[in-house]
Amino acid sequence: MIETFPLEQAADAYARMMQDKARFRVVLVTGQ
Amino acid sequence: MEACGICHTDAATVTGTYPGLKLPRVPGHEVVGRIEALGSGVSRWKIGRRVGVGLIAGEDGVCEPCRRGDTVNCQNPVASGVTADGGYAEVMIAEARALSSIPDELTSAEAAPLLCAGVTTYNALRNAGLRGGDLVAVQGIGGLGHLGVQFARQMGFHTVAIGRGREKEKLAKNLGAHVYIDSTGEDTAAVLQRMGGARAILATGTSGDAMGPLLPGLAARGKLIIIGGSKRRNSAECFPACLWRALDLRNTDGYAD
Repeated sequence: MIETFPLEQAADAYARMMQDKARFRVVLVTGQ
Repeated sequence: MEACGICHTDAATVTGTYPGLKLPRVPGHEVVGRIEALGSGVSRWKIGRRVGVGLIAGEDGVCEPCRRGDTVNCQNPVASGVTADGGYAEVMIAEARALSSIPDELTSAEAAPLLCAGVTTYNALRNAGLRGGDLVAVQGIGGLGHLGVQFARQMGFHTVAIGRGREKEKLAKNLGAHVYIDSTGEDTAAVLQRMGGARAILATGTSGDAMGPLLPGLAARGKLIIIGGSKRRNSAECFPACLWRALDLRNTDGYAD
């Protein structure tokens, strides 16, 4: 089960994981 | 790069606390992408092939574990996002020996977390000497545990999910858990013992405080498999001492096998 974020939002996505908010794996993606 | 999972281990790169880390370094070790170019001498891979790269991306071949053929426990590995730039990027360079083919059935984003979180939970269960029908509990329904429950069920184990509160009960059962235990409202070990005792408990949300009460829930010769770290003191002290070692900690039964 994943949540995707554009690569440009890597810092926000990383913060989401660090705050234990990810349900359940955060994945950076390109080309969207 | 098409997709790169964010793993808690990335924090050791981001905060610069990884032993021997030299900055700047691009984090990311759950990487899926397509081969855009090949180095000279690479013959097994073709441009355009979709591939994955995980954390362990090469071995030194000369350390003690490598010389015993245990390259996954290399003491001096190439590590994506640690000794080499990783996948928080549009492109990355990986050694050919680090690549895995990604099956067409998976999207890149779905496949990416399997390169670390997936293999961690999968191999932990696969290599635990378990048999179909064994009682296996997964403690913590999070980034690792939600995968562990699915693998345990699909491997044919009688699968127990252990979480704090009832919030994730429905989810855990939808993922395949036969039984859900709320560790805040139930005596986890007693429930497991009523079912015969767990042959293995996969501990993913691990602090010493969460781990200790699980031990009486194990069957004779049961195994507590620790795959998650936490920010709490007990496991923070363990990192990085326990890294790259696949330790097997046992108590004694008083008799030689």
